[in-house]
Amino acid sequence: MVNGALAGRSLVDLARSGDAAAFELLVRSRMDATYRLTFAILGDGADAADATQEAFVAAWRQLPSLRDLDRFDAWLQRVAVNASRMTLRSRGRRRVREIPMTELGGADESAFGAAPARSDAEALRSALRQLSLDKRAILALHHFEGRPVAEVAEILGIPVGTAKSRLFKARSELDKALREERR
Amino acid sequence: MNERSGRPKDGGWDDDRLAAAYRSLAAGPVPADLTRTTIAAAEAAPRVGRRWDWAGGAWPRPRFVAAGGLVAIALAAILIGGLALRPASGPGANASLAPAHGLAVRSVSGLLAAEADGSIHGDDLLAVRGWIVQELVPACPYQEPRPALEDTCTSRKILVTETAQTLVTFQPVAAGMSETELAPSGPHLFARELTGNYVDPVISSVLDPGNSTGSPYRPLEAILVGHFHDARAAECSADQRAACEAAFVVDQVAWLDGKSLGPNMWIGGEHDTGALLTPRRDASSVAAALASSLDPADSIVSMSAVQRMDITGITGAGNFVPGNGEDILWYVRVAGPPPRFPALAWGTGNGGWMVLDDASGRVLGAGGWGFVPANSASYSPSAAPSLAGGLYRLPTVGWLPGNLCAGVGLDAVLRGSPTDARVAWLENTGTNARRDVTWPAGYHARFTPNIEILDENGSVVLRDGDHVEGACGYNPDTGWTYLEPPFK
Repeated sequence: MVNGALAGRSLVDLARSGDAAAFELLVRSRMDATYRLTFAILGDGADAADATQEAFVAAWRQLPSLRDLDRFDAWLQRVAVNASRMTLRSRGRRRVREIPMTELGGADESAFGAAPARSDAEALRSALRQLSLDKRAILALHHFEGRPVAEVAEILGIPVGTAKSRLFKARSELDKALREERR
Repeated sequence: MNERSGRPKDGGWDDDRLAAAYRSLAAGPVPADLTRTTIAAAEAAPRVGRRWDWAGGAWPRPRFVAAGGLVAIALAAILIGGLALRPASGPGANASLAPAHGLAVRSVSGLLAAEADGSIHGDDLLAVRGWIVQELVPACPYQEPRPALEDTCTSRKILVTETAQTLVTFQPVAAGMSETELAPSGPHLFARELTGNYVDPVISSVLDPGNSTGSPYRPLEAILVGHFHDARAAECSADQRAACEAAFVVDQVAWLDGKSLGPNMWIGGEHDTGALLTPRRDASSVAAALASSLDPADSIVSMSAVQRMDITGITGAGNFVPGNGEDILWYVRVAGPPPRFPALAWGTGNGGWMVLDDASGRVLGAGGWGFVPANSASYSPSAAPSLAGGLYRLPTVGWLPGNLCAGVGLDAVLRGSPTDARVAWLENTGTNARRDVTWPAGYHARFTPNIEILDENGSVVLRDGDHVEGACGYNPDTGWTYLEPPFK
């Protein structure tokens, strides 16, 4: 990728004006990150795929309303969080849950280097299921995406102070759930 | 990253370990076909006012088809036997005169005019005949939860027009297809749903292109049963309060596109996970459990299964029944006379609601039919509490006793007078100060000649001078103390 932010902005600008080819490039370049964020929130491959698709469809429809093109990635993450919420609500429809590769072993983890003990990921997945979607989202944005609190606040559209307190509460709940997982 | 504490947690989960676990959790490959299907789905999703590529001739999804899969199960046309589950009659050859639960069916303009001139009584059930008109699916950004009836981008609204209208049209252009969405003309309203989205699946089952002919944007003739002045309007912000009060909330799609439907049914999701609830009872079982409590002339309009902790999402913030928040309750809308049980201070009104415990089948409470709970701001003690049979009306809430209470300590005795507006009260031991109290649903008093308190089944549970050591709750804002057994 030699084009960097300038080309990124150009793609967003083109996509905003209705260029489907530009949007396709945006989808291809952001697919991996968006899928992983929704996976970190939802903890399920099939749900993450649904949410990712919904997020990009919503992004395509809503791009004309995006004013600050430089904030496209943060905006897309906001859309992805909302799509995750809608997916979680619809989860009840699915009677048969797909078992993602990460549960079966053999997943390609090379992109992130050596994985920690497998039980940590499993414990985290189980613990996250005890948390509300909002708490999962703020945890994923901060601890998985590595976003500072100010960016988390911007993505979620809430004041920084609110983001801090919500993050603190979410982390406390997660710690409690993780302790219970270890019993 | 420097904001991270890195503090070791009790279980050894510092931030680095948590981040590593997250990376491992989400390390699996992106599904092979996801990029292709996503691009195809996006291309099929039009943008209002913009040109879009025509993808294989498929219709872009209208609002109700798109929403049909959200967390709900809607079982329309529950045509099972039993008095309480009678489906509403359809308009047939003369729709304007057809009844729905015995209600007069109004036109959209007639409904709006009646609401505007104040001739509609409270949240009385109303039937309106009109056309459900499809709109495009709005794309909404992330949004903080708002009160149920407030108008936001993500609000679920059903456009009902007086005349048949198609607002979304498509025209071929050089690069594909162009869409146009018009504003509705003539009398129309944007109806809201009682809970969840039980209306959408009913509509989408008719609109699904696989099950019908023609455009999914075609208007559908319908008779909707609903009400204005929903209790949740009180939760709206001041600038939206009037709009919330004037929102027509749909309790039932009674007739749709040529089909007469039975009670609409909705199964909610778990509060935290969204997973579909799995109640023990089906529609017949719920109706059977309510049969002895309802009036024989009653008919069930809709029923919704929700967790106890979510019941105020329907009944309103102040109308909470304490207990295990994870219990599944049935919220049942009823048309007809007030129920026979519990015996509340019913006012006037042509409909109300009952709440049933899914596990036990026990009626937990009721409301509507003009009943004003004694813990609400609009309650005022009755000027004539005397009833037939020597009974006196007590100030009660809509919930029956037997729920879990936080408990507050008291040291008082029961006192009462047939000439007092509240009939019974507590007198503090030592100070003799009076404390007004509120009772469970169905409680009454009698004087033989001293006061006796009777429970919802007519059994005496307290007598004049009996010592009371505990209450269920106290609200310092309204000053009411709620009593329910055991009183010690």
